[in-house]
This record gives sequence, structure tokens and C-alpha cells, in this order.
Amino acid sequence: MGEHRDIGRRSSESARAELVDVVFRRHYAALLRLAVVMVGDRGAAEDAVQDAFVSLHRNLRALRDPDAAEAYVRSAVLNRCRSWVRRQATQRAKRPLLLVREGPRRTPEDATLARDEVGSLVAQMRMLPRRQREVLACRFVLELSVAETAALLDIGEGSVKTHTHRGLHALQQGIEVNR
Amino acid sequence: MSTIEERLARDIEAVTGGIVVTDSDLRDARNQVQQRISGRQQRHRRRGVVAAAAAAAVVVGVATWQSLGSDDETLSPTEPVPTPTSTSLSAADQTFLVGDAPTAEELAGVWRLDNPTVSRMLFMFTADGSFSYDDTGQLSADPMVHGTFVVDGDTISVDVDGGTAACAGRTLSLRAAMAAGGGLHIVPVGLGDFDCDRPFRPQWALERVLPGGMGGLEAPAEAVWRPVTGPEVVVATWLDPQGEYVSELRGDGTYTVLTGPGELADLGTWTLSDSSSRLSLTSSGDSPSCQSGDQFVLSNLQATDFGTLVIRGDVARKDCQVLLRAEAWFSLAP
Repeated sequence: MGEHRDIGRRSSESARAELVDVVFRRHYAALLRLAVVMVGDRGAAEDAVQDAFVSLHRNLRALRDPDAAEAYVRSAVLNRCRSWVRRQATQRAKRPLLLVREGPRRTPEDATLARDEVGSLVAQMRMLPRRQREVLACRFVLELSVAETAALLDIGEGSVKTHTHRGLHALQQGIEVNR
Repeated sequence: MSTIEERLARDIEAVTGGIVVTDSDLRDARNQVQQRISGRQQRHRRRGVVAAAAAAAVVVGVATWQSLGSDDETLSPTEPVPTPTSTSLSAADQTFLVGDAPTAEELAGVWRLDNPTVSRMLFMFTADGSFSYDDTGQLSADPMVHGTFVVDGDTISVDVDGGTAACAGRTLSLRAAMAAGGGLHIVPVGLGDFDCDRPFRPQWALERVLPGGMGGLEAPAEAVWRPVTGPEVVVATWLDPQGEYVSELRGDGTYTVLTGPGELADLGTWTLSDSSSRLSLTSSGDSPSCQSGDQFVLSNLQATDFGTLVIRGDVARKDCQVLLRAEAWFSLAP
């Protein structure tokens, strides 16, 4: 954090590029994972994350606190994923939900999940109402606390809990229906 | 049996665990970002050069641009047009711009100022990339600003090529967000103390008019309808009850009908006769949907004003298939 502040104070073009670089190195992979979970397509996810960093570079001077860069770029990624999903819906694309790659079955003891296709619950998560899926992404992909999620999405902590509960409940119901 | 939280966490881990980001991937992605940043900067410089050249030409030929002062006279052809105000957003602007970045497809259509109290400003973004803005709702004939737009993230850049606000040659930068409920929030940035600054406000909250943004309009049952007293009543921009057509009746006796996302449906001339009780619209040869001379006539013309001016009449003649309806026309802008 302190590194960000020192760089930010210089407020020159090179300092901006350097700050974007620092945030990029630290957060690109995590943000890419977030975007893949949100849109289900690695190419689209890469576009969203790169676009968010371009936006960060453009708006860095507008951020009052350089430490806000991380929150800004996270929010920008969510924003762009949201736009991508909406564009897909608008274009009525019949895009299948994509699996990135089947990872190792990490919990063979979980017979239920083993029966399911990997990513099926994530795919269901993408079908949830926007706020529910974003809250779940913050809590379970970015592993943010309730307070951090509330700050990032600019909603109350009570809303975070409510959307988390509703989202998880909807996923549970989906599993029971498909059983 | 695991909880749904645990199962979701494991499924996310299984999905994201398969996403490998190598050092090479990281370098490639960083290069892509840098290229896009450089591309933006070059585009901005090019826009600046074009704007500078246009501004220089206008300064030579048009008296109204003399008020631009010495800033433009000192422009170097290789330097961008100076933007005297910051393009950064205030905290209030950032709060105002909460929402998704708009796409060109989402912008396409006609928008009006939400709950207008004084101004009846209208905006139009067309599917082919043109932009019009007018403070009195006259989008088709003499808008205050006309140009072409592109969307890049949350920024709408408008290259102005005409309009009564004398902004031609400028590139307007509008930061925008699709607000909750389908509204459009816009903050103009980077505008200086120019003549063309005049029509702009710090923030705009807009609601969609076309396509189909405000259908289902009804005059209240208790509305008192009175005869139309003269052409000043009908010179306005009107929306049909289904929200499908925007009809612009201008003081010079011409009219334009827009539909869909701002597509031209009809144009021609209008007259008021029989003691202002009969409104006739006659299509011109340039009408894309009607034959030259086609008429749409409303008789027994009446008006009511319950905060929104509304006119209605009986259809006495309808030659063209443009679906103007007679139930009532609601004023969007005087």
C-alpha cells in the first residue's frame, strides 16, 4: 500500500504507468479468475481485465487515493463482466456455458460434486440475479469479507448478507431440482 | 453432506484452478494493455490535430469563433487542443456515475432529461454513430450540437461537426453510466470556457424516449380539453401514447417523425387551419416511408396541460402507413 502512495504522489506519466504495473503484477491473475467465473469465457475475461487496466490508467489521476487503485480495478472488472453478460443477452447469443478446464477433483469424498460436472455450480451462479452473483463472486472468488464486499459494491453490509443468503439458497434449490 | 457454501467454494476452486497464468501470459497481457493505452493516447492526439485544424479554419472564416480568444490562435498543428478544465471526476461525479459503462447499442435512441423542470433537452444517438443534442428538443433540423460518437469504456467521445452551439471541430468527452432502472447518467468532462460550453450542465440524468422507453402514456381522466388557440401550441416535439414515434413540429412549418432507435420515418410540412382545429401533415418527396403529398390530418384538435402539454384529435385522413395515432400526443419539448 505504501508503495502505491509513494508512486501516486509523483503523479507523472511514468509514475502512473508504474502504479498500473504494480497493480497488474499483483492482481492480474486473480482478476482473470474472477472474470472467468463471471463470464465463463477466458477470452472475454482477458478482454474485460485488460480493459479495466486501461481504464485504471486513464482514471488514475481522478482517484483521490492511489490505494484505491485495487478497488477501482476490481470494480471495473465486475462492471465490464456485467456489460459483457448484458451484451450477450442483448444479442440473444445462445452461448453454452463454458468450462475453462477440468481441474483435479480435489474432494473425492464429496460424492455429490463428483457426480456433477465441474463448473456446474459456477454456471448456475452466473444465472443468478446480478447482485447475487456479484456478491457471491466477491465472497467466494475474491474471498473478501462482508465489509470489503459492501465497500466494493457500494452497498450495505446487510445487503451483502441478504444477497449471499439468497444466492446460496437459489443454488441449493437448483441442486435439489436437478437431483 | 457438505454445505452449499463449501460446494460452491470447491466448484469455484475447480474452475479457477484450471486457469494457469504463466509469466509469458502475464507479459503478453501487460503488452496488450500497454498497446491499448498507447492506442488511446495516439487517437487523442489525432483527434486533437483534427480539432485544431478545424478550429483554425473556423477562426479564419466564422466570426462567432473569434470569441475563442488567443488560446486557439497559438495552436501548433502537432499539439492537441488544450482542455482548460480537468477531465478528472469529482467525488460527486463518481457517485453519480455508478452503473455499467454503456455500449453503442444501448445508447442508440432518443433520450430526454429526466423530470425536466426548465429545459426540455433531448439527445439522440443513432445506430450508425451520429449524435444530436438540443436544449429545446429540436433534434432533426437545428440541434445545438451535431456530430459522430464512439464509445470507449465509460467514455462517449463526440466529434462535433455542426450545430447552433458553435462547437464544430471540438471533441466532446462525456463520461457515462447506465443507471439503475435503465436511465443514462452523463457527466461532460474536459470542457473549457468556450461558446460551446453554454448548453452543457455538470451532470445529466436521462431517461429513454425511443425506442419504446415511455409507452403507455395517458392523459388524466379529469383533464380539461380546450380548443387549440394557434400554431404556438403545436410547435413542439411530441411523443405518441405508445412511445413509438417522436414527431417534431417546427416553427418554420416543417416536421420530422422519428421511430425505432431514432430512425427517420417521415418528414414534410404541416399546417393548421379551420381556426386551428385542423392539423395537416403533408409528406415531402424525401420521406423514407411515405409518398410525396401523403397526408395525415387531425380534426377537432384539442389541447390540455396538466404539467405536460397534450394534444389530440380525430383522424380525418391518413394516407401513409406511418403509424401516427390520434389518441393524444404528449409534449416532450416546447
